[in-house]
Amino acid sequence: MKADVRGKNPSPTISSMQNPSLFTNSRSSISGAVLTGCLSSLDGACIEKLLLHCGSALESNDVTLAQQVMWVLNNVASAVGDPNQRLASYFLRALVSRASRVCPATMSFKAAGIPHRRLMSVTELAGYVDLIPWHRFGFCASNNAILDAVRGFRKIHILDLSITHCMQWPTLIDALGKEPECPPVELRISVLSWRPPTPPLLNIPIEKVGQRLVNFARYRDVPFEFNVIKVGGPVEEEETVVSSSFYDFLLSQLNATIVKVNVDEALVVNIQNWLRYLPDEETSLSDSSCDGIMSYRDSFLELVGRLSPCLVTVVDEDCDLGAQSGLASRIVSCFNYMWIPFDAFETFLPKDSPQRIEYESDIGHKIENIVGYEGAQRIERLESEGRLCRRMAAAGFMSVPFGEETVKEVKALLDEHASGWGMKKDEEGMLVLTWKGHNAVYAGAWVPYAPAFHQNNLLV
Amino acid sequence: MKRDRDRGKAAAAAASGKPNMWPEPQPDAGMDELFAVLGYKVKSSDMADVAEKLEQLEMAMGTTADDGVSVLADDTVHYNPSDLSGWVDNMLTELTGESSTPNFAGEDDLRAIAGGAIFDTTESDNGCKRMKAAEADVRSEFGENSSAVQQPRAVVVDSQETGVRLVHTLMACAEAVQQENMKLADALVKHVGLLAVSQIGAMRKVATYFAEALARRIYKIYPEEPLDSSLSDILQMHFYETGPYLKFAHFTANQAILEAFAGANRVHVIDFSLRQGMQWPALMQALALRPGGPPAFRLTGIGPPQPDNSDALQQVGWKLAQLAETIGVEFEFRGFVTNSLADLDAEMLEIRAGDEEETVAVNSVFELHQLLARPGAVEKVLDSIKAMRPKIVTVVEQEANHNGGAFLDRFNESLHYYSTMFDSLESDGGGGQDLMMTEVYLGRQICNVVACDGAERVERHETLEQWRARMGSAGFDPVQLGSNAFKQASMLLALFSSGEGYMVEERDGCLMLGWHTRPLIATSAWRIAAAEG
Repeated sequence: MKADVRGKNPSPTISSMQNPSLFTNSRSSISGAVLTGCLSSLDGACIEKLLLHCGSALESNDVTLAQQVMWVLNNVASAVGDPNQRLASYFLRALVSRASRVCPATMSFKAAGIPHRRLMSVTELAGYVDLIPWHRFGFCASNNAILDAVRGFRKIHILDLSITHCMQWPTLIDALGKEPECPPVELRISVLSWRPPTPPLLNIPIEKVGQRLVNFARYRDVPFEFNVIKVGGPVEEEETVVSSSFYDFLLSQLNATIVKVNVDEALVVNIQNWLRYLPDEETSLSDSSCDGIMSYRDSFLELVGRLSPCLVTVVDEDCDLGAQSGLASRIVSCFNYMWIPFDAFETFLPKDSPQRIEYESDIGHKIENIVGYEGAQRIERLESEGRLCRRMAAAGFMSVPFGEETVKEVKALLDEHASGWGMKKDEEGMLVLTWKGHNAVYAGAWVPYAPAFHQNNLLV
Repeated sequence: MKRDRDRGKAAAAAASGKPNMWPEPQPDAGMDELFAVLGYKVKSSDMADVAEKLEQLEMAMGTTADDGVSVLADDTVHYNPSDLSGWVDNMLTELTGESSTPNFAGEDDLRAIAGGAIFDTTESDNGCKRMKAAEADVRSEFGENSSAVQQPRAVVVDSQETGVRLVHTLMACAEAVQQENMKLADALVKHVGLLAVSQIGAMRKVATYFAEALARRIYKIYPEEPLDSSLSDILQMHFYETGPYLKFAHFTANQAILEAFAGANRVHVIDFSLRQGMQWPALMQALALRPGGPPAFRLTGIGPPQPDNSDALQQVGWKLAQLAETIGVEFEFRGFVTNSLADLDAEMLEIRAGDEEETVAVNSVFELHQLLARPGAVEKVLDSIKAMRPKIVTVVEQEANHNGGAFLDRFNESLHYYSTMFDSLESDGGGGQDLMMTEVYLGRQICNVVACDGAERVERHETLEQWRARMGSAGFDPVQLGSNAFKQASMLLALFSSGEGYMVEERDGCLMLGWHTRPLIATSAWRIAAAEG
């Protein structure tokens, strides 16, 4: 490679200029971020490096450099190109959105980056859930674990904390209907009136969903009850004010009385793609009933433990994008993770499919929240499997490995879908859904150590 | 619109022996018509005195401002602005707490205050009536008690009205300059200074720069020492950081160049003003990521000589070479030091053909207009460009006609242009040193447009339409800037959300960036006309 610079040698005096930083990154903390020899095709690694370059520029407040990288990215990104290009276009949008805000808003606690969005019908929601096993994996693993855990109980009470509008339960109700019990097992499902402001969004209220479940259960001859636990004031689904006082209030509602825990019921707490919306920054909380410095997420888990459930199922996305990650590393992690659903959509849907555009756009909003915001406005706080396990242990839970039957069921489910999907089981007994080998979603089950462990901590 | 001016009829000598800067006035019996137009009833013969009072007032106001309380900054009551002398004097009284003359009683007072009759009793009825009416206004404001003027009373100036007055005064001054009525121009330029104090923000800054430029022209203190080019580069860097203008230029020109280079294995960019080379890293990065691998990239940078004989161009070249190595692009650099683009010819650039044939792009950002100061220069340069056989020529220029034959036209055009530009920068809220240095950068342009002439006046901006005609007759065809360039410009504007007044406009394949409805910068692209092969 020739770098022939003709002419006189440069003189010793160099006028000090602002921002020669796209030249050499001696100032930059991430000198490795300067792109090295991305030749030939514009693969994901190149885009990742560009994004990292932009992220570190924003982190170090070098707006000019960030803008120059954005100019380059604008030539790469395309909302109708291949998965990497599509992903790049959403990332670029998020970066522009972030860079354009003069000061990142810390005052308003509104969950950010969520304008009016399309509401699905139940049929569309069913189609969304069926397209790829992203959610059904968790449903299947959890439902099987639940059935194992509640065997022998006459009454089951499930506290359902999820974002998929009870799409998990028809299968469980069906399975209960098939069991040759006499008298039949009674099932009660409770949900909260609040749900995290994230897609998929449904065009009917949760009460109507509950009504449908009641009808379905009647059809399957399963005694069934559906409750909605009121938390927070009247809030629109799409515009939820998620302030710390809201979380305080939410947690205060998680006690045996309000949740209506009955001693003759087997209580299951089912947490699906929900835990990540609880803030994980460690702060000293206003609620003095929790000792010391904990995050809302930790406090929540403690409270769950005190309900003495016979099982806690947790399903979430396997990626670390929580409080501890700085912007640049978050961008990289997020890019590598979100590639998974984008690549899956590429496999199953045509380039110009409106459905695909919508699903990608939903992820795009997630990206905008992750990349574009900080503090309370950043509601998408994904946590990897490993970290979650440690968190559960610290909150006094013991993991319950999934049984062989469960594993079989999940495998059978995945066989219904294309061959790119796989599964692995780790030492702790958790299951992880994979796409082309990359970890996508994990599912785990826990029980509290000993009920006494929690009851010893005096609490309301 | 021209008026008949009594040029020779200037004020009588100042009543007092106080020194003033004005040239010896000539006797004049009537009112100055120009001032009358502005609504000021002042006799030319008394101008010296009025001017003196203006100076006093300025000093008094300045002191007041220093106290941290500038009464003039507020939109407060203002009475009878048309009575200039009375107004001035009342303000003086307010601020200094004492009347400029010891007596104040009756209709004659104002004349006495003015220090010499504004209006003689022999004055025409018309004038007298107006004066009396003015007096009546004044007195009704003050109330019955003649000593009411001594009462502390919130003064003074309606700043919005003063803003309008300010513009009018600037334009009147320019007209006076065009008429070569330098004494009047001098008085007006001072008045501008007075009015400018009551403004804030962009208006104040623009007025100050234009007043300074006018003063230079009036007193013939031009040209100001030319900045050495490293300082000039520093100023442009600050301009680069403030507001989207220079970034718009780079974003759009680079997009056109990137697209023109598609499929080429060897490319050569000729940059008519390399400066700090801020345009090129992004282009090089994009070329590096090109599917199929980057082309060999050659850059020829042109710049002015350095006062200390240092080789600024080579320094920039070295930095770019280092970047190129990091990103894996074969890179070559050559610098050309010259005072004028017209001194270059294509052969010097050694454009390569044959085996090493290179695709050439010529890039000119705010350079071509300077050539209009020398007859024949721009034609020569356009011919040289053709000899370089470029695939694309990118031109970015200020969208304004600051090169008209009449001084007044240039003045009014540039007043509007720079007011708009200063307004836009004010909105950015970036503040601090960048903004300040950007204002200095633009102030120098203002100074050049207003105070200079002949070969020294290099800021000869012309509109896109004018350049279109010139390029056309020089044998160039326009190249449409595509939708990608528009996308880039839109993204840039999204990044400047604080200045929501910015807008991008596409016009016949060119892109313009402006503030509200006024385009300020235009990017266009060209190639050699088909007929010329």
